[in-house]
Amino acid sequence: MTWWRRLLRQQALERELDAELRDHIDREIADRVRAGESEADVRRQMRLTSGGLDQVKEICRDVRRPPALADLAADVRFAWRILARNGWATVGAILTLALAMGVANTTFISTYATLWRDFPFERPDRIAIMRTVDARGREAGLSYPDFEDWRRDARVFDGPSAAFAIGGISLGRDGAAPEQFEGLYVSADTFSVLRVKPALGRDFTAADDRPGAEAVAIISSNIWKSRYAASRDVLGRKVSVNGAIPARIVGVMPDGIRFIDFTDVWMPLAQMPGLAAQRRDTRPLMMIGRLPDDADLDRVRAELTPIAANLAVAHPDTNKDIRPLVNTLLEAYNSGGEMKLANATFYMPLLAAAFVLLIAAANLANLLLARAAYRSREIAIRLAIGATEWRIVRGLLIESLLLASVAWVLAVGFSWLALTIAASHAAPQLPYWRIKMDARLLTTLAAIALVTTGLFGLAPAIYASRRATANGLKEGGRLSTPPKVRRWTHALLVAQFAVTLALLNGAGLTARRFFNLYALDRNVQTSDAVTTVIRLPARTYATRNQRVAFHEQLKARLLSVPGVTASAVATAVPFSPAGRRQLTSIDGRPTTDPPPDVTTVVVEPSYFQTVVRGLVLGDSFSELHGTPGHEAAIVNQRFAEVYLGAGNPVGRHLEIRPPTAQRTYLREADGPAPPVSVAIIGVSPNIRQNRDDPVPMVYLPFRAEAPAAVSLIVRGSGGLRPIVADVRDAVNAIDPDLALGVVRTLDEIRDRSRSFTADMASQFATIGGLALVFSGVGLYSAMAYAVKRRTQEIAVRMALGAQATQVRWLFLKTGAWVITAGVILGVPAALVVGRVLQKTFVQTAARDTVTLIVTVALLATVALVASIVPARRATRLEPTAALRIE
Amino acid sequence: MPDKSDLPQGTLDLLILQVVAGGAIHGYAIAQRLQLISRDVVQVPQGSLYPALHRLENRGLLTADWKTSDTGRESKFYRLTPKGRKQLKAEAASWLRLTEAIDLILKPAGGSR
Repeated sequence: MTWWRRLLRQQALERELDAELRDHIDREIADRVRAGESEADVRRQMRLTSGGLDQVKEICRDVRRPPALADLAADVRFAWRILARNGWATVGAILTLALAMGVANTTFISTYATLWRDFPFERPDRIAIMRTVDARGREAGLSYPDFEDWRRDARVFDGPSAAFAIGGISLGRDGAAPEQFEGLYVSADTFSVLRVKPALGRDFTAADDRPGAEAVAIISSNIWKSRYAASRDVLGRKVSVNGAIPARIVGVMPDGIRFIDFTDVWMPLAQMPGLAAQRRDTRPLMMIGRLPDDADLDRVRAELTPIAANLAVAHPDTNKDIRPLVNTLLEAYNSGGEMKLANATFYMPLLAAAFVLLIAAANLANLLLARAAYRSREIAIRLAIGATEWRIVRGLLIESLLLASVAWVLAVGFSWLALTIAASHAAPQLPYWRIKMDARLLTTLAAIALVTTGLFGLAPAIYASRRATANGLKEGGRLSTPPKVRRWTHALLVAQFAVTLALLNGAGLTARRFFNLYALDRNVQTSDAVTTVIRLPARTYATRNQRVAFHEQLKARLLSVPGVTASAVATAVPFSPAGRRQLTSIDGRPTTDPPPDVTTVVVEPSYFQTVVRGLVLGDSFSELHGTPGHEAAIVNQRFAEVYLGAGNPVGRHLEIRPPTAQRTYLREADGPAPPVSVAIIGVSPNIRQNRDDPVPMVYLPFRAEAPAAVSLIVRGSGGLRPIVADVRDAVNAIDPDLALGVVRTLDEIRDRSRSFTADMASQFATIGGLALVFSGVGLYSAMAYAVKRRTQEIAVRMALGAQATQVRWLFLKTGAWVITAGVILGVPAALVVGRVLQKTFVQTAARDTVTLIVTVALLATVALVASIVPARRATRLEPTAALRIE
Repeated sequence: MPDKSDLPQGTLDLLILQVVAGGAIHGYAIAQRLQLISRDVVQVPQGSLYPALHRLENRGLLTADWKTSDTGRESKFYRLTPKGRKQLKAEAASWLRLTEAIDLILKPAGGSR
């Protein structure tokens, strides 16, 4: 029955009831008048005896209505009135809970989105991805020869298995300007393993993936739209790839398919440079295969392990101790591999958010407990005049439910707002990263809200029903708080204080860490600088001399452009991942076995004026360095500290070996370079490279090897946009088919590299700030409530001559006690949080005395103010007025 | 006027069912009939009668229609439902059993009054 029909029916019933009762009265009057009485007398008598029509009606209504429902409506109204009467306290409790839940929800959703990304493929949890791991636990891909052996011998998969390798792919002039893209070389069956079909054109065939086959490419819908204006005649178009081979575009992928990461161009694996001659210890491939319904990853592992063992026997020099690493695609993306380390960091804000939720719950608990004491008299009265216990419990539950549901609705609103703002601001930095509300999470939050409010909301009922009714009535007269309730309140306040202390300290540590990054970043001149990547194709720039010549020509052209003040090339710009090489010996003495990896950047001499702010010691490279007989290196301060000890680093000798063949699937390998013996000619300041803390670094002169792929850094005045155009013109004037890579300013790269720490710091600051406000509010309301409750007592004391300071101390005592106990418990908790942060975030100090002292001082001040304000109010009371207040 | 006696709990329902069993009847007439038959011992005020009637109607023992009575007045007439008839039978029997039992207890053993 709809509500209005119910209403109409209700009205009809009312009318009938009225008519029936009037009929009765009229009949009685008529009868008695007939018997000789006067009508007025009869009416008066009837009013006296029957007790009024309304009362009769009310009893009749009660008969009609199902009693439980009638009471429920009354209870909801009553609960609403009670909550509304305590306006501010209720608003405070609801807002606290809502904010805390909102923060928890938002934090969880963004963490979840980062940790658990979903693929737009059919059953990504049934796609196995295979890599290798060596004896030292280092992960790498597979070499092409290994892949061929694995593919031939592994029979576990449902359908074919496939492999792919990451490589930048640039498209040359074809109406559009040459451009570099993230590319993937895929074996012919890759897309059928993924179960993805091109939206336009065709998939690769086995014929495409043969050595010597015509080069073909599939493009993403992304560049189909941006580069080719979504035109259908893109199919069959020829475009030069990587400055050399003309490839035919045969397909366009559907929207959203950019496997893997942000790939825009796919080519057959056979087109991958150097594939045919690939050694077994060059491992750029990853292999995928579909799991059949009855097989799990262990079956795959069981099948691949003996295959790998056989290869280790057959090729001991390259495959010794190489074991298969098997995950599902989902796992590999979301928790396996490189993400593993980061995971612990992701959980920190989550934990912090959970603690804020706890603080909010404690506030609510305190509010409800305080009210429990206050309301025990009301409850005792209601019990005394015949309310059942169930009725009272139900009433309190309804109150809690109201609190919880309002808070929940607000929390959902808050987090929706926060996520909308966050989503509109940040471009996705991770592939397949989507932020969305999660029904399970909202349900969990509702449960948390219900449990919190329900648990503490019921306290009054439990408390009241435990005491004899008469007792409750007696005590109610004085509104005292029973010691048990007071103990709970104080315990909750202390716990709140301690948790807040730990959270604030954590926030302080992350913030300090963030500002430390700033300090280190002053060693790099980021302003007015654009960077891009230049990849010289091996076919046209086969020799070192050709590459050196290109860059000399480019530099001359760039420096002749008005406004351009400097240019430099390096294999990696600051704040970004750089290659590593093995440091085999220092001054002729071998280092450890295996030799340590040191971060190595190959730079032009001008790098130390254009990018890094000068040298700490010694000189920069000259144009001579890097030519035979002039092998030189510059190390950073960190390198000198770690490997060279005391003494002047300049003049010491190092031997450096090319990068290990491992890990090469993450980035393209630098070209093979012979081991070099170099003399240190200078020491550079530390900058951030690879990691957020300084790592030992070696800079080598560009001229020695002239790597094919380098970053170009150009500084100039007069706006960045014209400079980018100038750079493109200069590059294409030398080589019209050469594409620039992604163009970014150095500022942008620096900010991106800070974003993780910045996010972390801001998350912690938000959470720590909320915790501070919540515990301040919690303490304040508890104190204010205590003052209100003891108004009469204070008045009596004041009337009897107590000093204001004495009265104030009465309340400050509680505040002081909470602060002391809170510090005693909170400092160790803060140290634990600091330790966890240190473990996840390298270089945060686990115990930072300044941060800790500032935190304690801040928190203690807030707590003191929160207790002084109500205490002062107590002493300002006019005794006569106070005595009259109940 | 003779003493009014309080009705034992629950007996009003039984009496009402008994009266209504005689045919469709409105509230005022029920009160009159009860008073008449009991020789003024049972006087049911509005405040007891109508809640009882509505309760019985709600429980499905009585059903009611609005009809124009002999005097040309619109009144609500109550009738027994089959369920009410069954209930009346059961309650009347149980009442009789109970009163016989009480009689037995109140009478001096084997003697006459």
